[in-house]
Amino acid sequence: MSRLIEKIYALFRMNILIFVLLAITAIALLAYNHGLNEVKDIMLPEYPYFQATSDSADGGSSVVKMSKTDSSIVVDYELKEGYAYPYVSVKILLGDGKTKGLDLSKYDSIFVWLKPRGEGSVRLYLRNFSEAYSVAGQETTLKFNELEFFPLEETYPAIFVPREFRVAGWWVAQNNINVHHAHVDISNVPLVEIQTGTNAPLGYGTMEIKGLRFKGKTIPREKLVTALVVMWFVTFLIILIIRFFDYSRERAANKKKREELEKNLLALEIEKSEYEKSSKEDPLTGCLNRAGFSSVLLREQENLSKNGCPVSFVILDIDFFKHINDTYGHNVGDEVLVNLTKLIQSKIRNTDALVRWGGEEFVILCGDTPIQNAQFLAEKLRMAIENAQLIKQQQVTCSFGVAEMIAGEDPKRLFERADKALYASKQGGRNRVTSATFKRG
Amino acid sequence: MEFRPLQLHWFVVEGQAEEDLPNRDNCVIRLTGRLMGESPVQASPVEELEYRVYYGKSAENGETLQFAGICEDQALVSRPECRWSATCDSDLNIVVKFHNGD
Repeated sequence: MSRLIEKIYALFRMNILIFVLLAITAIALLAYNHGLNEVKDIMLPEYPYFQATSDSADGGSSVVKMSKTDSSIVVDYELKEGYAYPYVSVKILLGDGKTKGLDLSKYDSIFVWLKPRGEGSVRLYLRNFSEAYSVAGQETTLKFNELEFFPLEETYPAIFVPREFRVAGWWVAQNNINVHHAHVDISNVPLVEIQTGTNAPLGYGTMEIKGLRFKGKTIPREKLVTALVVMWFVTFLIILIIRFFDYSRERAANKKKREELEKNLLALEIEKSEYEKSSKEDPLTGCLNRAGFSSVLLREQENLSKNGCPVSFVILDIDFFKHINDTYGHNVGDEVLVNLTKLIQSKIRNTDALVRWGGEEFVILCGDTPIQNAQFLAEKLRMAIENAQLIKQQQVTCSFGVAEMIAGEDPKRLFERADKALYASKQGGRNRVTSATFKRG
Repeated sequence: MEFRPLQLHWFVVEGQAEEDLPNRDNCVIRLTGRLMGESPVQASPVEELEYRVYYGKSAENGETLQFAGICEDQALVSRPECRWSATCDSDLNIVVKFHNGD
């Protein structure tokens, strides 16, 4: 069971990774689009840190009066001549209201609930503090990130995005702000102002302000996209690594399997070869048996009939072998056979085939050899055997019969001829070589 | 075609060593082949021919071997095929002569 699960796991693990990744991506995008919101509400009826001011601070004579309802504040004002640009405003303090405000840069939209009485524009200031250009305690040094809009032309609430803000040019000029600091910066806003707009008509006016909302995402889009890309990249890297290891493992397994197969094949071949060899070999002496002789004879017959290469046949028989067996036992008899084989093997060519014909009888098939050469070989072997000490108990001799094959003749005829020659050697007194020579009629 | 058993028993003449004889092996092989084809041997009515062959260096030419063959069966020594001589020179040229009946 667990093996089955392992197999299924091996089959699908990489696909599982991709499925998991797809699921994570889909959930992340869904969550981003329908959630993961970060909202900062400043609803003035409940918010304590705000105040209404007028241009009287700048030498003007405008008047402002503020009252609260359950859901909003109402700012009644009267713009009067006096200051060059008469105005009234509502200042909303964030943070400590001076140097440490709120970071509004993480929000991507700003909602403003504001209802004016009459036409005219309204200015929204996000005043930013930075040590680069602001002086603690001097409100005028807070950067004027401004936006001017006509509330009656906007939705309710009016919705803005940070890129719609700009920095007031007069403030840049008055404070000699370096060009590198003259861009919109809302990373530390201690003060928000809602002010009557440019060229607001003199006289009475009312603004009903419910409040502000800053809305953004918990994770910025860029970060989310980057995270997802990194995740996909890492996943594919992992898949590549897994595939690499799988491939290496598979290759090693295949190699091992192939080696085992080759080893088995080799063992089989050796076994086959040994079997074939043993089936054609005499187990005692190691020379060919009759079965092994057949294939050699066939080869030499072909050689004779096709190329005219003479083939001779030497048959030899150990003299008085029965007597050796009877006198010294079969072990000594076997010793004679083994030692005789060794001696003959050392005297013949590699191309000659030594065959144990049966009992104490051996045959040498000599390819490319006429009868006189075979007779010479037989004579040499006879002398070598006579002069060798095959066993310590007694001298051993052999009798030989030699015959040459005639093209196309039945091998039986050749054997009979050689056998007759051997018989003549035996009859003649043993330890001699007799050739079966041609006799013309 | 009939066949006849032929035996050749080789003996080096006294006073000479086998290993000193030039082309001994080749001469013996060639002579054997030659004898098997010689007319007196072919025509012999004897069922089994058995020769005793003596051989050694020629007294006149040390590079030539001289052979002398005689039938083992003493009863047959007067037959044409039963007494022969042969030479084998350094080029392995064989000359055989049968003496009975000359």
